[in-house]
Amino acid sequence: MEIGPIFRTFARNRTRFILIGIEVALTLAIVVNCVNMMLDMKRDRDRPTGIDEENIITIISQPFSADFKDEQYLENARRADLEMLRSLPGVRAAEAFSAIPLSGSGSSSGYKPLGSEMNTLATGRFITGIHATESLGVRLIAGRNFEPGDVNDSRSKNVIMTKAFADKLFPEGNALGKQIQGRTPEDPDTIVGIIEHMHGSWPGWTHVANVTLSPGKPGSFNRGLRYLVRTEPGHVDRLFKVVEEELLKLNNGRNVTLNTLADVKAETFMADNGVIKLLSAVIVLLVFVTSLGIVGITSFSVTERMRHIGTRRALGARRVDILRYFLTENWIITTTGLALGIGLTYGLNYALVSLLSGAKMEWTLVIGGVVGMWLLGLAAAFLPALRGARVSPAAATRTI
Amino acid sequence: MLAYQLRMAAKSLRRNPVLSILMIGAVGLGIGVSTTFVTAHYILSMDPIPEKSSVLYYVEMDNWDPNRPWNDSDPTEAPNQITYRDMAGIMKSTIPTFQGGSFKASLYIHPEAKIGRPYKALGRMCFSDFFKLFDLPFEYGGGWDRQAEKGPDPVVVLDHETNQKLFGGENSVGRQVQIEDRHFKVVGVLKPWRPLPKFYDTHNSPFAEPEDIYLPFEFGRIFEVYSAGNTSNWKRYEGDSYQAFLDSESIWIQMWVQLDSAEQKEAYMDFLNAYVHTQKAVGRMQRPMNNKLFSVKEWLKEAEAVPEMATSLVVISLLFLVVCSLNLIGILLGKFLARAPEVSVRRAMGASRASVFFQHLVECEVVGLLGGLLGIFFSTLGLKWINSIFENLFESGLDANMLAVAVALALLSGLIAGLYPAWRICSIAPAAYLKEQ
Repeated sequence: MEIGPIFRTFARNRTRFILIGIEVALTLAIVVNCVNMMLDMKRDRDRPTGIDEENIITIISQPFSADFKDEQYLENARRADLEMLRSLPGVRAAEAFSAIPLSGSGSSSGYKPLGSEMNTLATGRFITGIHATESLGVRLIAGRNFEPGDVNDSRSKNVIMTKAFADKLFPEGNALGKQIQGRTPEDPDTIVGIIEHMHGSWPGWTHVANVTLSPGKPGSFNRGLRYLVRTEPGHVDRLFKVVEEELLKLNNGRNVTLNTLADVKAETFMADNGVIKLLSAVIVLLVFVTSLGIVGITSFSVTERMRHIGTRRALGARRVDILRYFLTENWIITTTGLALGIGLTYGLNYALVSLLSGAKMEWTLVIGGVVGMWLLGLAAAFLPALRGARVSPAAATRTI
Repeated sequence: MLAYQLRMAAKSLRRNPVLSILMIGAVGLGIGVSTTFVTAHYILSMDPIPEKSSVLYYVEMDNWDPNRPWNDSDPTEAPNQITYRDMAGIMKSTIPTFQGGSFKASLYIHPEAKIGRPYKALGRMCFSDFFKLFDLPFEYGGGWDRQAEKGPDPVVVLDHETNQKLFGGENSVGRQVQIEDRHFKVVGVLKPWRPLPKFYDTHNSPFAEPEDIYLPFEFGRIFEVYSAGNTSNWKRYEGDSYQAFLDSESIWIQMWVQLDSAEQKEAYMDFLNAYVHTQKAVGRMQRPMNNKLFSVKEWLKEAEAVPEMATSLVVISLLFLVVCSLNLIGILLGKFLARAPEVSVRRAMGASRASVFFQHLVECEVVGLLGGLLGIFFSTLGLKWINSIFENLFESGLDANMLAVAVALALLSGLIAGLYPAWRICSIAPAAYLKEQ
């Protein structure tokens, strides 16, 4: 190996190599931090919500006919809608909800064990009916669903909650059947069912996995009525048109807005998806610029040393020796730069985390970045190095 | 002298067009990316109402649970909206120049049948001062007067788009619009108006569009409509009538006042304190006195209107520019040193070090400027792209300030990238090269 000559070359052309080293270091720091932010946002977005997102149609029925101001009329309309929806072929379940999960809009509440001195814990809260879990596609792991008695009795205080929230209220895991209260102990609620996992209305919220369902008849003239329709897998698109038509046929004194739950979720994450696009663009451009830089510098080294290469070739060095020389040189620079870059990467991450909303970094990501930059460096240096290897021994005899 | 140096620079750049394009492209890309993100951040953090931002104040009072603060992790924070009864109470004050609470509500507009089906619009329930507080620009007519609030008179102000939709954009003042089950008379039509951020109500989304229609606050009570924004409460109230809601501790109203002088502000603060004492006397507001007046700037900071990600992206884009400049240094160094024999001849014939140095620096600045121009072009494309991703938030694009920033960044990166190469070339020893020739 030509380590000795390589280092003597470094000593003579210090600046140029320092430049590439710093460039590689900075590129590593920026790229790894960008990827880290992207992954963090993707993790948030792709966390399992427990809900059968792919097979749910969300409906907002917004009445304008004054008839709906009458409570009995509203209730009849809700029952008629739900009966029709449940009768459609391809529909597994349908239920009314006070808010649409993952939509960014809903309501929250606070609960604690009955008689406890602690602060109430926050939970997303939905008012819904007996087909709630089936319509969400969430799994009930203990207790029961709501029964007609719960829904029809406006004083019913039975609730179903997620295991995540139940475990927080009752860390021993014996939440089923326990009573809970809000700020004051009057009218405590009773936990009658526990759901394995479900996300509430605000996907970015710390307590998104805390969800409580209360029985009732959600909806009003002002706020409208909201339904979730869960279809057999793959029937969403087909049912979309049918549902809209049938609803308006049933009652034309309202507007209906249909969405797939997948679209609702995408809308909620619109800003995050946008930022992910921006970060990707920055990464692509940066990798491009840095590769050009490496190509440029290696080209210079080659051009400058045409005569030296010719001499070496004349003295018996093979093409592959020349190629290896330049690649080794490049590899040493890249590696030195990367060593510096690892420090910079953590420095930048520290700055972003402590000053702004950044995400902590996994060391595996840094390793991935280092390997990627090694490959990038070699690839970028390869063509100019190949040009060097093609220099004929006769070049040594020519003046430049 | 400068003209000569510029001519030399142009000559040098033409001699190796590929290299020149690479250099200018590198600077251009760096300036393009950094200007795009700096501008995006600048747009997000702009003063939405520069002519009045120093005299408008957002009002907060602490009506929260005596046993638990509004924000567990920062007990000094007061609830971020106010109750109906407190709004009614403090609006009795005559101290502010203009004042008023408001909230957004979702309301049905029933257009004439030939125009279309009824549709939900966002309305702002507000007082006549609202238009004066925030200087809303009118295309036709104007706001309503205080007298209209007593009735309340069924009057409405439409935004530009709603007027387009309902009346084809013509002067609709005096015409009727059915909202919910009542007919309203149009008294004003706004010009297109989009304060960024939507400072007067940052809840839900600080960059949302303003509302479609503006109605006297009292119609909230008549329609029994709740806030389409956030409503928070800590205390259960009896009954589910609208009146019970109005009398409750629910917070849902954004309250703004205009206080033109320091004395006025002080007097108003005293008034608020006195008001809270009257409430304490009747058993409400048992938490420590915590009245707040936020200026527009303070309020936007408190409401965290500018997403932190925007700042992170500015940091990253400036580092990107540094990488591009490093590239430029590398290329310039190679280019200049290749010219050593030529420079040696010039030095031998009497050119001073300084003149060689400056000549090369001028060349670097020419590269920087050309790159800057290319960068400005790139960043208009970049901003268009970002604008399409984020639903027209960045429509305003580059302004004079941001153009100046782009040019300054370009000159700066040209200068920084050029210093070392220019110094290297002016400090070579001519003799060595002359001998070789």
